[in-house]
Amino acid sequence: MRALVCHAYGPIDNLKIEDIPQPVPKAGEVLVRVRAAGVSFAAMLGVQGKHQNKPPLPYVPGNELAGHVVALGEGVSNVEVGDRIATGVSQGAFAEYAIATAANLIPIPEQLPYAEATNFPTLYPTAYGALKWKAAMQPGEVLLVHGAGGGSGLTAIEVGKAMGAVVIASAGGADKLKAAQEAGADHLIDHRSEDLRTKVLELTGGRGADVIYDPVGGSAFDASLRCVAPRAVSSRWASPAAPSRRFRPISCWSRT
Amino acid sequence: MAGGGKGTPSPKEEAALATRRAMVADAQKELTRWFVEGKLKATVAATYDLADWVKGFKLIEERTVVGKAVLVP
Repeated sequence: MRALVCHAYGPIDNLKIEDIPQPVPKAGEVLVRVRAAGVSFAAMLGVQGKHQNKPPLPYVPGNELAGHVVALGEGVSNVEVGDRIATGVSQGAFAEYAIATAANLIPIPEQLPYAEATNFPTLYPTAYGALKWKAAMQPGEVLLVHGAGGGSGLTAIEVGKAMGAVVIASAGGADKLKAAQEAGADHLIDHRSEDLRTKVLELTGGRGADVIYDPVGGSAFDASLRCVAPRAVSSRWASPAAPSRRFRPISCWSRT
Repeated sequence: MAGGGKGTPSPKEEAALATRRAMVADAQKELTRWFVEGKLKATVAATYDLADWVKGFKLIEERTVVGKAVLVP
C-alpha cells in the first residue's frame, strides 16, 4: 500500500512516499481504508521528534482519519465491513490503509464527508469535554472563548452555540474575529485594542462570564480572572492551557 | 490500582474504561447529530493528495487559515 513514511526525526520534507505491506488487524482491531487524514500539530511534532511520544522508526505518521472498515480483527462486533468511521490513532493515518482500535471508532453518517469527519476524533471532543463534562455549561450561560480565531477556539464557539450559550470571542485582529463571527460568536473582542475585562463586564451587565474556554493561557488566563461571574470562581473553568503563574483566588473576588 | 498482570486491566479499570468509552460514544453521537443539523461546520481549509504532504503541513505550521488541512492517501 501507498504510505508516507518517516525514517528519521527531522524536517517534514524528509518524509517519503513508499509502497509498504498492508497491515493486518489483530484481536480488537479493524483495518480501515483511509479516505481522509487530518494534518495535526501532534503529527508534525512527531515527525520532528519533538513530541513526548516517539514511535520507533521507521513509522507512518498521522493521528486522525476517516474512511470505511474493510476487515475485522478477532472478536470485533461493534462495526461491520463497509461502515463509515472516523477515529484517532497513535500513528498510521497517512497511508491507504490503517489499523484502528475497534472500541474507539466513531460512526459517521452519510451526510458527513470524510474530509470534514477528520475534525471529530480530536478537535470537537476536546471542546465538548471541556464545556459539557468539565464546566457543565448550561443554556443561556455566557461563554468567553480565548484564541477564538484558531482551530481550538473556533470549535469551542461552535460547540458552545450548539449548547445554547451566549458566546463572547476574544482574538487578536480583524481576520481572526471575522472567523469567530462566522463560527457563530455573539460578541467579539479584539484583545489587541480593547480591554478584555472592561468589555466582558460591559457585555454581561457587570456580571462576568460563567465559563471560560482558554486554549491560550498566560495573560488570557490572568485577564479572565478579572471578569468571571461569581459561580465561575468555584469550578467552572474549561481551560486546557495552564495559567502563567500561580492561581490567585483574591483576583476573582475583587475583579479589579 | 492493581491489574491482573502486566498490561492486563483490573476489573475496576475495565469498568472505568467502559464508562469512559460510553461517555465518549454519547458525545460523538451528539456531535455528529449537530453537524447534520448544521450547528457544526467541521471546516476543511484544503485537501491535498498524500504526495503533497508538505503543503498540508505548511498550512498548519503557518496558522494562517481556518479549518483542517487534509491529506487523501
